Amino acid sequence: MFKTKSLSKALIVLLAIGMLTLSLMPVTAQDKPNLSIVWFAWPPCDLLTSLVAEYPDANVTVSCVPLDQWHDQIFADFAAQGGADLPILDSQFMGEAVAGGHLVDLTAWMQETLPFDDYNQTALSYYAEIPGGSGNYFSVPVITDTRMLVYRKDLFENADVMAAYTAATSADLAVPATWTELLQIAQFFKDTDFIDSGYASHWINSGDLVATAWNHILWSFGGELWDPATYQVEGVLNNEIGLQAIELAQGLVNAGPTGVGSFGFDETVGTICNGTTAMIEIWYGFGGAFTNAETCAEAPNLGFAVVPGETKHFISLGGQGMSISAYSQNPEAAQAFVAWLQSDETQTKWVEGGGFPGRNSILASDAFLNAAPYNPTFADAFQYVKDFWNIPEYNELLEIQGEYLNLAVSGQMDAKEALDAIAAEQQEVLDDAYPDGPPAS
Amino acid sequence: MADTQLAQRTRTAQFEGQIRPRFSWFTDRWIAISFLTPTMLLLLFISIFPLVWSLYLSFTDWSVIKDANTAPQWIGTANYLELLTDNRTWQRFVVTGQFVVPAVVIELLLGFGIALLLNRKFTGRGAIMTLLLIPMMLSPIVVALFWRFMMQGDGVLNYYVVNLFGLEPILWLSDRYVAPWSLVIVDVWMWTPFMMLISLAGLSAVPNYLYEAAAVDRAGTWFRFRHITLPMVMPLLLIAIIFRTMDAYKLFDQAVVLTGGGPGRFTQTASMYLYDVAFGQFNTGEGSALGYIMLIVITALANLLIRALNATKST
Repeated sequence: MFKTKSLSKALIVLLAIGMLTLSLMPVTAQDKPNLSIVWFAWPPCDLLTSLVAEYPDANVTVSCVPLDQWHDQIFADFAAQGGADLPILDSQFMGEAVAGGHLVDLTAWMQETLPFDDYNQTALSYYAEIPGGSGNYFSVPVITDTRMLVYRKDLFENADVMAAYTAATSADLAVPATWTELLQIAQFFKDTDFIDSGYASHWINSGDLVATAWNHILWSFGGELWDPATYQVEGVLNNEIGLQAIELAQGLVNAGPTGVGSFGFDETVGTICNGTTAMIEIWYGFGGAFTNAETCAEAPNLGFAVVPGETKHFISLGGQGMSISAYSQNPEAAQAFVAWLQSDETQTKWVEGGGFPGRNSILASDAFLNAAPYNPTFADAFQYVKDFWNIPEYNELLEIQGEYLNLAVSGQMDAKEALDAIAAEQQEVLDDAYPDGPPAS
Repeated sequence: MADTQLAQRTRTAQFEGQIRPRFSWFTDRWIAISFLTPTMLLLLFISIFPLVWSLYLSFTDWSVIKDANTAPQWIGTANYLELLTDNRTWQRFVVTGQFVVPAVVIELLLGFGIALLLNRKFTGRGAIMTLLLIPMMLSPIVVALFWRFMMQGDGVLNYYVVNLFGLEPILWLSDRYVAPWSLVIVDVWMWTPFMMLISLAGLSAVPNYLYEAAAVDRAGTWFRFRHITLPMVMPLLLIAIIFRTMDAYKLFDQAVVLTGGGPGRFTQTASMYLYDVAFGQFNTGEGSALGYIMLIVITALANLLIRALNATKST
């Protein structure tokens, strides 16, 4: 009896101590709010993950989801009125998100708290201003990005290669200034024994990969995907210029490695790093993959340049802004975090780690220019950026373009037939969504 | 002694008298109800309600993103009519069929063949069985990732195609005619062991005396296979076919990783199309309708196979 009573007392005491400990533990955690960020899996997301660990005022977690699930996860979370406090959306997702009322309008707060005038106006306009020209901002540029040309500098400077190129084309081998020159160089490398193939990019029909690899060829030839003023696709896309752009892309695919039509990011990076391709084109955000000789065998031989133009000069816009979800439980803490991320000190760490800033002063700083061998070309490249649809129907339009474009550039569908199919189906989507014409901005 | 027994009986009666009124309502029926209720509520919440709600949504024009703040608009069977008259829907079902039929047939033939070879005692049988079962135990995403790596233009498969057979490299993932077969190859590699396992279970259950009797009657190998082995194993084979058909019909993860539905949409299965409509474009009403069309198709297919199974059992 005595033993039982003692045991009961001991258990009660232990229980009390345990409950006291548990009740004290959350007090510490409650001091710091929890914040979550969602982005897609790529090197800058890993960099952000390591950077947020230094933020003192909140427990910040970063989810780097697979690229294909990025859009869908964010919008499925919106549908459930939950998800990350700080979603990082692609510029084309913004229209859909703002139209659905899923993002906080940051205009007044940005102008009061952040160095608003220091932001690159192109980045701010594309990533944050919805609708375009409205003066309403829904995100803060977290990473600016565009595409770079990575080439085998050792081949371009090799006397034998240069002589052979001149003999074959009557031109000097140099970093291409136009797409036509680039195609000629790519075909030269494909046809000779200096290297296996000439040029690679991500032509796969996945997300916006084939679109962003091709759109700037179209724009540089003087073409357009649509008329944003009238929402007209028919006749704007499927014309002689569109055909030229597809035919050039077909040439590039033919000058590429075997199976380049199904290349994604990894394969594109891999094909130049393993020494089988002379030139690739990819986002600056992947730049870190080309500087480490341990992971990229050809790293010491690589050069970096601005993607060429043609009759005009446009390069696909990358990069994203960080928004605050309308469903965040901690909007003030989220704002405080964004302010910290955009501070001079954090931005310097961001660029030193391989990030690309949205502020002009940081873009021009020595810290940024000296951080990576390709950074000096970035500011030059970024002046040519151009984006495409950022309306709620973006994903439907993208899927149509991806399907036919992938077949056309890989030579499995007639170019005209593909352009006509894209134009007809996209026009149907737009006409269904806007029977009375484009919405008034 | 008699007094003591009487006193005990009185106490027992008093005790029972106290207990009975308090718990008399707690009959077996109530016990059953109290145990079943939480499960039923849970099922209702996570299974029945979404089913009914999605059925309702399939008759509406509604997007969970674009129309989040408005009520679903009833449009009757318009979603079903639009889907069933849309070439894209039929193309996706054709792609699915072009994958399911060859994949399941090849898996069945290979699996049954391997089972016949393994249905005897020999040294190392256990080790071979274990090795053969490994593909089935891997994650489909992992399997698709390493096959994607091997099927690249300069991957190991093309190394053999070029160096061993002296052929041109094959565009395993980017050729519209080859890519669907790449999906079949990966599925066959992964799921043949399942067919083998089920077949082996069936073969092990065939009584030996039937073969002994056949041997006495001087029956040939083909006769024994045709009239003893096959009929005895058939019910299990049909069950395996039902499982594999239903599973292959839902193909999503492997195809997403391996081809992403490309080139173009030549490997986009019905499940991938459903995902695109429901979560890529967020056309929730149309996506729900497509989900029900898929459900009807697979239910019909499963019923046909189950009828075949029942017919086999009754003979």
